[in-house]
Amino acid sequence: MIKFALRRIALGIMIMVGSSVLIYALILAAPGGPEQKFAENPKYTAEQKAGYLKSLGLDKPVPVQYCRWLGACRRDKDGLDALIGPTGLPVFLPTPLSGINTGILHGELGYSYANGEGVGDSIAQAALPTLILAGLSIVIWLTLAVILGVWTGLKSGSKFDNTVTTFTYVTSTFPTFILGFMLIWIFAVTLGWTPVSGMTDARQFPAFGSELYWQYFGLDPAAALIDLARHLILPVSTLVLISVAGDSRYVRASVIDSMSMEHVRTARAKGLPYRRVIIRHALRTALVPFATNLGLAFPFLFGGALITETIFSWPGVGRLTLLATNGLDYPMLMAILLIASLMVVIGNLISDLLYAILDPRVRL
Amino acid sequence: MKKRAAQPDARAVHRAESPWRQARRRFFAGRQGPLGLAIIGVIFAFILIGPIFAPFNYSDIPNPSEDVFLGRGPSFEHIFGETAQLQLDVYTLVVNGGRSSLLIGFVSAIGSIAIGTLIGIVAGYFGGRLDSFLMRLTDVFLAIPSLFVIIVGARILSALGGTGLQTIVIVFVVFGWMGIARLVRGQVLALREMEFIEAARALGVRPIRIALRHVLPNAIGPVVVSFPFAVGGAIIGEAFISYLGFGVSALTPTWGNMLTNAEDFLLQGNWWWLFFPGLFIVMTSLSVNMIGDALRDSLEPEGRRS
Amino acid sequence: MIKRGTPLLQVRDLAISFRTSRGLLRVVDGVSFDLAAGECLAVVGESGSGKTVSALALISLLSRRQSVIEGSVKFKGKELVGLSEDALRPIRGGGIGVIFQEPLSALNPVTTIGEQISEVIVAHRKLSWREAKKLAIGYLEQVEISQPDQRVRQFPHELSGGMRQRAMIAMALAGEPSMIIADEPTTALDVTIQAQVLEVLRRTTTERGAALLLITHDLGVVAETADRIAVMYAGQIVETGNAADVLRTPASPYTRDLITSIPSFAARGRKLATIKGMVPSPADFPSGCRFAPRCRYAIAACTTATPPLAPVGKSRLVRCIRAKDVVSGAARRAR
Repeated sequence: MIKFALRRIALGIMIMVGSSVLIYALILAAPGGPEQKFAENPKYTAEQKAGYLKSLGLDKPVPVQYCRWLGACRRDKDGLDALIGPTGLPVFLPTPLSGINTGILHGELGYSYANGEGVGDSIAQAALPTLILAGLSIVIWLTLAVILGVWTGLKSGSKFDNTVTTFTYVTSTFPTFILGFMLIWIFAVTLGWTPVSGMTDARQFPAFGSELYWQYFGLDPAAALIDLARHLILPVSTLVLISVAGDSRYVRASVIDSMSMEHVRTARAKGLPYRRVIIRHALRTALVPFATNLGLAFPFLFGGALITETIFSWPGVGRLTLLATNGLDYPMLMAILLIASLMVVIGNLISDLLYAILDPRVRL
Repeated sequence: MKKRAAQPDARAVHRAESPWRQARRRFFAGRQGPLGLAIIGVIFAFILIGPIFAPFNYSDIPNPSEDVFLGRGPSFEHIFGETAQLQLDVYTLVVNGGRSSLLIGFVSAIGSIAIGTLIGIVAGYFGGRLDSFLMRLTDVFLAIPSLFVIIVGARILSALGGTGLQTIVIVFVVFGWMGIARLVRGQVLALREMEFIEAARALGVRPIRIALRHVLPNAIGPVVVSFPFAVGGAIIGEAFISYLGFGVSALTPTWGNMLTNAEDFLLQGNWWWLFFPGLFIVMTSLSVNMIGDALRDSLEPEGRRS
Repeated sequence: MIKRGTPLLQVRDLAISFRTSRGLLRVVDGVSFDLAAGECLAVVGESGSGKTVSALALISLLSRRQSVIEGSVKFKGKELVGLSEDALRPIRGGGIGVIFQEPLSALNPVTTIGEQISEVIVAHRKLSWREAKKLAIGYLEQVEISQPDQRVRQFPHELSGGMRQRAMIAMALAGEPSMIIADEPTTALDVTIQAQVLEVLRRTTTERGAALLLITHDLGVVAETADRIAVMYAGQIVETGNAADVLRTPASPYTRDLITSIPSFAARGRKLATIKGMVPSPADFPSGCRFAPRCRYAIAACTTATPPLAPVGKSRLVRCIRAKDVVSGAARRAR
C-alpha cells in the first residue's frame, strides 16, 4: 500500500515537471514579453537592448531560463555550477537545505505585470472567494448526486426515475454560462429576488477580503453572512444544477450495474435482509468508482468555477485568470496555471489512493 | 433403414446481424437518438437554407434609427428581432453565426479525434517505451485544466494575430485530443489480448491487415461515441471564449460573440438578441448529447438479466 | 416436521418464461421432480437446456421483472412459487442454500470471506457478530481450508479457485439448510481440484443429512456423486431415475447419445460419436418432441405431439414414445 502511494507520488512529480515545461513553453510562444518594448521602439540601440535583456537574464538559452524560473538553477552562476547551491546540496531542494530562495520551487512566484504586486498575494486573496463558492457547491452537488443517484438507481425504470433522469439530463446539457444568464434573468432581473452579481452588496460592505471588510464583518456578522448568502444563491445554484446531473447519472449507472452483479445475487440467495444486500453488497461496490470522483473534485476548488465567476462577477481565481489573460500578465498566468495543474495532480493522487483503500483488488 | 424425422418447422432463421446493423437498429429503436438527430437536422436545415429567406445581408447596416436604439423586438420583418445599437437583423446573424459555430464544432471534433485516435492506436499497439512516453505526454497535457489552457491559448494566438475561425479550431485540437487517446489506447490494449486477434496472428494474417480489419473496427466504438460530444463541446467552448472576447472577432459572427455584445443590453430590456443565439446553442448542445448517449447505448447496450 | 415419506422438495410442472422484446418466451416447460432428504439429485444437460434457470427459479432468484414463474414448488410442504421476497428470505440460505458456478464473481470482492460467512449466520440464526465469526472459522475448517483463522480475514481474490469454491460451500452450509443447490460447482475449476471440491461437497451434505441438487453438464461428476439423475433437454426433463441405472441403460435417446458421445479409450481409432444438429433456442422449439430433429429413433408420431414423461420400468420416467426400443438397443451393447 505504501509502495503504491509512493509510486503514485513519484509519477505525480514527474507529471508536474512535464506540465511546468508545457506551461513555460506555452507562455514562451506568446507575444508581449519584455522584448516587445524594444521591437517597437527604434530609439533603443542594439546595445541597450542587449544590456536590458542581460539584466533580466533573457540572454541565456531557453532551458537555462526555464531552470532558473523553476528554481532548480541559481541565478548567480553559469553552467553546471548553477545546479548546486551554497550549502553544497542541489538547488531544487527546499530553501533551508539548498540555501537558495529564488524560483517557483522556493515560493517566488513572481510579480504581476499589471500592478507589480506579488503574484502569490493576489492569488491567495482571490482564492478565498473561489473556495467559498466552489467548496459550497461541491458539497451540495455531491451529496445530492449520491442521494438522487442511489434512489433512482434502486428504483430504475419507475416514473420517479424517469422524471428525475429526464430533468437532470436536460439541465446537464445546458452550457454553464447560458444557465447562469437564465437564472440571472429570471430571478435577479425579472423577479428581483436576488442580487444580480458580485459577492457583496457594494452599498453596504467594502470589497470582500479587504481589511475594512473584516472590520465590518466583526461589527455585524449576521448581516454580513446574510448578504453573502444572498449573493451565493444564484452562482451556487448554477454550479449545482449543471454538475449534479452528470454525477447522479454516473452513480445511478453504477448502482444499476452493481445490482445486476453476481455477488448481489449471491447475497439475495443467502437470504440476507434487503437493507444489508443493498448497502453492504450493491452500494459498496457501486460507490467505489464514484468515490474516486471525489478526488477529481479537488482541482475544482481552485479553477472549476471560472465560467460562473465570470458571469456573476465573483472576485475569485477565475476572474483573476481572465484579467491576467486579457492583459497578458505572464507571471500571474504562469503561477495560476501551475497551481491549477498541481491541484489536478493532487486530485488524481487522492482519487487513486481512495480507490486503493476502497477496493482491495487494486492494491498491487 | 430407420425413417428420418421431418425437418423442424421452417421458422424464420434470424438473418445474422452484424454488430453495426444491431447497433443501428438499437439506435433507431429508442427515442433519444432519433430525436437528437431530428433536432440537429432542423438546425442544420435552418443554417443552410436560412439565408435564402433572410431579407438582409448580414453586413448590411440599415440606417439605425435613433429612437429605437435598443432595437425592435421580434416582428414580421425581423422574426428574431433587431440588435441594439446597429439594429442588425438577429435572424440573419443567427443563421450566419450558425455556420461558423457549426463549422468550428465539426472541424475541431474531427481534428482532435483524429489526433487522439492516432496516438491511442500507436500507444496501445506498440506498447513499451513508446506507450509510456505517449501516456506521460497525455498526462502532462491533461494536468492543466482544459478551460484555463484553452483560454490562455486562445488569447495568445489571438495576440499573435489570428482571430479567425482557424485560431479557435487550432486551440481546441491541440488541447482536446487527450481523452480520445486514452479511450482508444484502452480499447486497443484490451483487443490485443483477445483471442480472435491471437487467432489471426496464429493463422499468419499480416499485421497491417490485423490492424485494419480486426483491431480498428472494434476499437472504433468509443471514437464514434465521442464524436458528437466533441462537437458539442467545441461549439460551447467557442461560444464561451468568444463571449470572453478572446475568440472570433465580431466581424465574423458566431453564436458566441453575439452573446458578448448582447449581454450589455439584457438588463435594459433587449432579451431577443441574447435569447435566440442562446436557444440555438442550447438546442445544439442538447441534440448532440442525445445523439452521443444514444450512440453509446446502442453500441454498448446496458442492462443485463439478473 | 415433515411427514415421513413426503419428499423434501416437490416440483410440479414448473414453467419459466422470460419477457423479451418479442413477448413472453417460455424457456422451461413442465419440469417435475422430487428431492428426498439427504439424497443427491443431479440435473444434467447441455448449456441452454434450462437447468440453471430452473434451479434459480426454485427460490425465485431470477429477475422478477423479466421472468414469470408458473407451476408449483413445495419445500417441506410449503409452496414457494408466488411468495414475496420477504417471505422467501428465511428460506433462502436458511432452508435452501446455493453454491454458484464462478466464485470469483459470486463473492463480494471488497468484503472479507469471514464477513460473508458470518452475515449468513447473523441473518438466520440470531447470533452476535462475534459468535458468528467464531462459527465461520469452524465452517472453513469443515470445508478443509487451511489456516481458517487467517483466511477469515482475507478477500476472495487472495484465495485460489478451489479454496474460493470451498469458501462458497462454507457460506452455504453456514445457514444450516436442509438442502443445497449447487450450480455447476466444479465447472470453473481444474480437473484435479474438481475431485477435491466434489468430495468436500458430498461429505458435508451427507454429514448433515442435507439434500443436494447438483446442476452439471459433466457426466463424470454425476457418476461420482449422484444418487438420482434428471436429464434436461431444451427446457424439459426427458428422463429421471436412479443415476447408476440411467447411465448404464439410458431409456431416452438423448441420454443415450449424451453418454455415447463421451470419448472412451475403448473406442480409440474410431470416429468420435456426436449428436448431429444443434440445441434449438427457445424461440424455435419444434412442436412435438423437441429432440426429434436430431434423434435417430424419431418417427412421424414424434413430431405431432410432445411425449409426456411416462414411467418405464422401476422408478424411471422417460419422455419418449420409443423408450422401450432405446432400452433394448442399449441392453444389447452392455452385454
